[in-house]
Amino acid sequence: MIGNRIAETFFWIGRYSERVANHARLLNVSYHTYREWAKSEAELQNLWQRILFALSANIDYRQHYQETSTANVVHYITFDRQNENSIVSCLAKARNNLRAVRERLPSRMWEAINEAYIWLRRQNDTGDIPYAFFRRTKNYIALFQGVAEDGMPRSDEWHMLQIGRYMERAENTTRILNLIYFNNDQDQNQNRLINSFQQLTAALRTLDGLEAFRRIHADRLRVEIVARFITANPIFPRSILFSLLSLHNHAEQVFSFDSPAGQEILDSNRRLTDEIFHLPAETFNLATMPPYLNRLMNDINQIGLKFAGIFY
Amino acid sequence: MFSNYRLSDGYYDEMFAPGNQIRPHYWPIASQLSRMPFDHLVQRQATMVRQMIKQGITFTLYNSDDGQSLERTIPFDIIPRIIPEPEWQYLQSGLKQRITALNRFIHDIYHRQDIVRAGLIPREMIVNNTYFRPEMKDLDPPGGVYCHLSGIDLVRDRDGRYYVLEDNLRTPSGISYVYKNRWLMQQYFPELFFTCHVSNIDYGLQAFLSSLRSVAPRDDRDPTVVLLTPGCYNSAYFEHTFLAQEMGIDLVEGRDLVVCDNKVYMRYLGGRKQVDVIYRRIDDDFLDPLAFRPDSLLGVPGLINAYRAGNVTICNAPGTGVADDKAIYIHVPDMIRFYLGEQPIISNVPTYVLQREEDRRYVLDHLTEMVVKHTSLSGGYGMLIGPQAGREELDKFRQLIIDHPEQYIAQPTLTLSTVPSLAGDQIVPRHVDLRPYIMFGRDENVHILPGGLTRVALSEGSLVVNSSQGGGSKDTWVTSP
Repeated sequence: MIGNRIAETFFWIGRYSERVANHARLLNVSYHTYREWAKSEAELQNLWQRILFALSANIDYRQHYQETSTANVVHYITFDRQNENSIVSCLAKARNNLRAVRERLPSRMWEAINEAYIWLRRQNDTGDIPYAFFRRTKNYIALFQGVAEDGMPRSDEWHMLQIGRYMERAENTTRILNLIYFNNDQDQNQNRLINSFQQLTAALRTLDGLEAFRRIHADRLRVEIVARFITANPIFPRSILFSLLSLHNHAEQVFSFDSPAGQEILDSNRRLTDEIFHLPAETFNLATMPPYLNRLMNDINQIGLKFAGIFY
Repeated sequence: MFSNYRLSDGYYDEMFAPGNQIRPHYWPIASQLSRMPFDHLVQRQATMVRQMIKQGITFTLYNSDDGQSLERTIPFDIIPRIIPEPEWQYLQSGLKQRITALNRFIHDIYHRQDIVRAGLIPREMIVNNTYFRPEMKDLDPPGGVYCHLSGIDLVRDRDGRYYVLEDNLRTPSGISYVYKNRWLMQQYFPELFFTCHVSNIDYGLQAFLSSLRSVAPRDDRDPTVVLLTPGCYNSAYFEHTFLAQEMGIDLVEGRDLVVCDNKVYMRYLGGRKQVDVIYRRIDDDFLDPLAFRPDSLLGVPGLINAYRAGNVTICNAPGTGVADDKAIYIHVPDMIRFYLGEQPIISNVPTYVLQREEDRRYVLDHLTEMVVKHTSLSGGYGMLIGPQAGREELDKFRQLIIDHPEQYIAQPTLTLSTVPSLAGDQIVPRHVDLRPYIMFGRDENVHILPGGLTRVALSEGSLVVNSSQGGGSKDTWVTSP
């Protein structure tokens, strides 16, 4: 049993560290593909606009920046401390939270995040080779997660860390999925084959899932099959279903039966995973998916909010 | 950056026209490179090479002194070779024409042999061919496809004209380098791509996977496609793992497969699974010890029977080598006229047939100007480069030609085009060829990977680009303005 404050701290460490890696992957893939897709500067700005929209950051962004250029958006999502969800902000928050509980953890966990933060704090831009910059960022998080996996006792701290991580992952995957439909919607008049091929492979790479997809679905790179894979595949570790199931397993370990709030989260999460597991294939069609996706995002947000509420 | 670049006399340079004028399709990257300090370019290249080692992008050289095989990275040069879109359109139509004719030729010689009856190709040239497989007679591979993936080597003469140097229709390697070179350039030199539109190559492996799946013998279930490798000591093993991973198919060795009731199965924990399509990277000879070489440990006993029974598709089909023999090469222009009723779009390099008295005399008199090749060896083995050979080697080949004229062909020494390349502390012209990769599927459907592999001879004046002989490679771009 751990206190609410400690539980909440671990929940947010899990979320922020996962968010850092998710942003790094998203930016790395987008940076290298968007210039190729865009036929003009305006189109390029439009693509970045959609990213900001998918991250629910478009309004905040406009208060600080005029142009939606590649350099501005990359800076905003990576280095801008005014953006509370930027990579540097998330890393700073993960580090602060870790500092509050570091005596409970294997020391290498703190070191991994601290080292990452000290490195990132000294960078002003992604340098000549953005790929190398983002890879380094992802490697720090991978190290952090690996050290935790390796050395943390499977106590409530561990479960809260995982709950945070999978909560964040479920939300992130839903955003990427939303981006696919959003882009497909706009690209209707363009060269469909190549466009949708490129954007589907880019979405899968953003989730580190292209290789896994190939092994399961071979050459069937169609939007409804990719969407179903991202949503409902039970063994792909970044699918929404997998994330919610993992969340559930860890939540079951920490919520005692006499906690009504805990039981409520478990109940709504169970309803949601059941629903996703049984979604008919037609749900993923271009026409029917967007409304469903809105509902799904809402349901996942609700679970996140309930979690945030349970600590008070 | 290019101010000291000196063109080699008598060669076509891909970037510079005579008088050191930069060709228009190189303008965008020329202006970017010249804004960059030279040592930055050198550093970037070094970073990329380190990355190749980290990722294990290597090939294996045989026959090292201590009997161990050596893992090497294929040397990589940072300055891309650029092909403008209209030129690529021309090449594409020529390659499409050529592969279609070659595929029809292979079908023909394993069926009615119309081309022999028409007197265009002597029968003995086919039946005495090392790669002719009588087992393939009257067999109809699914979709009529023999050459699922091939590589056709092209070179450019001094006037910039393209010629076909050779056809590789068995198990051409190098396609993984096309992808890895592009990946390295995109990740480590992204700004170079921002000023011009470079054709994307990602769709190629998707197309290849689809075409492999489309030739499965049955269409009532999701086909199982595997890649059959000789194993991790093979020189191209990295490529096998790369292709299997990218296409999400299983990489298998002969011992992982078993034939039962003329069906091929893959063994796995607690059971077996039927295999429908085998993309093999093993030579015909080693495929099946029951059909071909009995001492082969790499193959699968009974595989050819299963193939003949129509229960599995082998890609490329056994016996395709009959069409990439260097003696058959001479007849490809005839095939194009015979099967397609068209004139060849890309010409062959002029070739002397040493069985012809007249040709042989001419070649023996001009041996120092000739390249002599064994008809059935590849990879730069069994080859004489006249202008660079010593007395002893010339005499050896003179005798070989006199003793076995049917085993050799001769071509005038080619003037391979040059591309600026990084050598130490300067940029210098180095000779290149081009191997585009062609996927041939059902209904004579052709997909060609935009660009292909540019192989570069890294030492000054050298014309040998084979990686087994120390050649390197460059990223190859097809660009539209």
